[in-house]
Amino acid sequence: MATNEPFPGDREGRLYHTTGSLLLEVNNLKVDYLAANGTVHAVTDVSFSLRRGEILGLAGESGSGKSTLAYAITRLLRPPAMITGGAIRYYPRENGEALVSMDTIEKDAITEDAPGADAINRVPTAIDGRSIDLLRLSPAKLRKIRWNELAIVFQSAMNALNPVMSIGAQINDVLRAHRPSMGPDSRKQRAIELLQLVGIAPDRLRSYPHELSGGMRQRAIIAIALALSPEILILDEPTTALDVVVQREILTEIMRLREKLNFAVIFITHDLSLLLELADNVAIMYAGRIVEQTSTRDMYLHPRHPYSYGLLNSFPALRGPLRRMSGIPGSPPDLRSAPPGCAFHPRCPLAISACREALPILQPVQSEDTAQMVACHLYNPIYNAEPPTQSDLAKKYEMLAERSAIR
Amino acid sequence: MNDLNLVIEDNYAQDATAPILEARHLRKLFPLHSMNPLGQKSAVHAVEDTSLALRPGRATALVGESGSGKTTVARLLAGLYTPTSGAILFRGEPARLSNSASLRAYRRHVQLILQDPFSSLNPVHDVRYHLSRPLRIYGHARSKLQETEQILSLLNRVNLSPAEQFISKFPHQLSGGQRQRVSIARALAVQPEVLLADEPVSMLDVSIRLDVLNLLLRLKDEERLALLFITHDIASARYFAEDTLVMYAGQMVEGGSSDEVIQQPMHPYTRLLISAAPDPARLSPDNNSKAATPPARGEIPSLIHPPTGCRFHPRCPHAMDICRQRFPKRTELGNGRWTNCFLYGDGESPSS
Repeated sequence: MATNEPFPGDREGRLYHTTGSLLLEVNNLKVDYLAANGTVHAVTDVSFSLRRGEILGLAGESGSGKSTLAYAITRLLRPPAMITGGAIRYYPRENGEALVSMDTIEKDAITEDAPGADAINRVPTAIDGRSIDLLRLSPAKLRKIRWNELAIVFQSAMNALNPVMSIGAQINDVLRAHRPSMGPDSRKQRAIELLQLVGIAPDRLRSYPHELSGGMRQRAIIAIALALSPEILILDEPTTALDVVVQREILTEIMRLREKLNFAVIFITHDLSLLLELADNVAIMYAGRIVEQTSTRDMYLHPRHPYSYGLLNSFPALRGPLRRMSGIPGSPPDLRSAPPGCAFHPRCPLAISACREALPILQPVQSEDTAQMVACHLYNPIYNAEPPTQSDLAKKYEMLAERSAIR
Repeated sequence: MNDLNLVIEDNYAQDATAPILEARHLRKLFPLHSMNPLGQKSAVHAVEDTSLALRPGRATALVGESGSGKTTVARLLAGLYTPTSGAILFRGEPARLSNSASLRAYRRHVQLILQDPFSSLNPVHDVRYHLSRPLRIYGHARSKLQETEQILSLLNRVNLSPAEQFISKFPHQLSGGQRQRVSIARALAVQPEVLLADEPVSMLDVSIRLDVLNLLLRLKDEERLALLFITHDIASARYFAEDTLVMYAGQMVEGGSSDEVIQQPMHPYTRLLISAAPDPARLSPDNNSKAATPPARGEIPSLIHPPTGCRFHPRCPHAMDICRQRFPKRTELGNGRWTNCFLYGDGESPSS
């Protein structure tokens, strides 16, 4: 990727410091799968924060822990998966609109706001000073949060809908369970409203999933997710099973809805080129850890972590000069026994001796730009005096490409 | 970087080489069996009037949405389906695909790589078995020793090293990328001249895709293979193939050199595909006009009762009356570029 061209999406509102107030904060989250042949550390020490109206992109290869993270946030994980540490704090709406009034939440789940020391750099303290720890909620209270505040759209549109219930009945179901005060007529009204919102004709209310195309089903699922106007919408690879044209439609729809309803989005995908068009901020995951976290702009202009660089250059461009691209050699590690030090070092073309020994932590890159967080020793003056520039990264990957071409 | 350009130029210089595999006016209908014996017979019109030519050392990409008939074309060319009408020419002569002996002879030259590496290898057999079958069947290896030697060299050619370790592995012990490499090695074992790759990387992880694509590119250059690369990702078509053909609902709508097709798309469907592809560079100020083109809505039509005329007309922003009546003839736009669209004439000389 050429580094000297200006960032195309450079317009207001796409910078790292989005204006919304703090909505969700994940601190040092750990998720393990307790398998018989060893514990799989699927998510390790993941911290990030989400603001109102922000689109946060999570990218990484399969097996990097993206989906596990999404499931952990919604607390949908089932054994053998276990959340073994960390905190997920949710900051409810400050005005009276909040559907879950604070009184209904158990007292012990409300904590004085105290963001972790490592988060101070980028997380200003919440204004209301009160937050809900999603990990400490009882099932009944959790049920009040889910869907009302936090909705998730699953990966496979084909399987997420109930095949023996019509679309209308499935929307109705949600409303009846979560809005007992609503009458049948207003529920139906709301269902029609929702379908119109995502661009489905209201006469589809009585259609069954098999009567809808893949794109329509995905729209219907988004409509169901938005039924209770949640604050956070988690999209777990929402378009992977769809064709490019339909994918584009769905994404445009999501962007339009976000403008209209102002919810925050956690968008999970392996397609980094898609995220760059869509997200405000991007976090790259590798082997269960966030290895780089920054604004979309910085990610596009100068990915710092060698893995981010490799991932970004794994997508052939539609425009610009043709050049041989290299991809990333090797395959992701087994998370039962991740390599010591930086998990990426066996595949990294720039690995230094420290990478094999010490675990890099996510910290700001020492430069004028403090918003870019990267977990890489190459940017740590203790291990490496001169951090690599973009051309260094390009050169190393090019050498790799040449070597693989010779082989 | 420069090598690639050189290779491309080199290939253009040899443009005159005769096509090794050619499809002429291929048509494939899949009849539907209705329960009513007196009812109207209907069929899925999967591929209509498709012509293409594969040349040694060149890759041709076939791009389209799912349901556009890409895979059917690959299977027709591989001899897995019998065309309803039309001809397949191998080295200029009609390929005989009638019985198993002639099919076997044909497949000595034309091999298919399937999309899903998880289901295209037999789980109860190891890598050695998968690679030894083609070697034995096509008589490339006469003894056990020769066989092992050739399997090892095949594994090395597809960058599976150490080959000695991989030879005794079973599919479940391999990652997706490794399995796809075994599939490629299996196709190469026959020493084919034509390789038909049906979405060879779409099931693989992002970081591994380029590796496999580069491997295919290298094999193409080294062994002068003619490659058909089927994909839904138009950006990788540009990276991978010299020529690109665009298919919609069973009809070929545009073709030409990849760069031209993607930089200056002519057919409204090609434009739609390109505007829908993820492209971080799209938002730059000079590209605003392109981003603003109204996206066509809707999906690929049912091919049991396809729309009349040009099958794209229900989604096409430029649809005219004539588009509903008949399918436009191929309009040559010069430089090997062609499109089937009334916007550019009707098979006559290029006009506006």
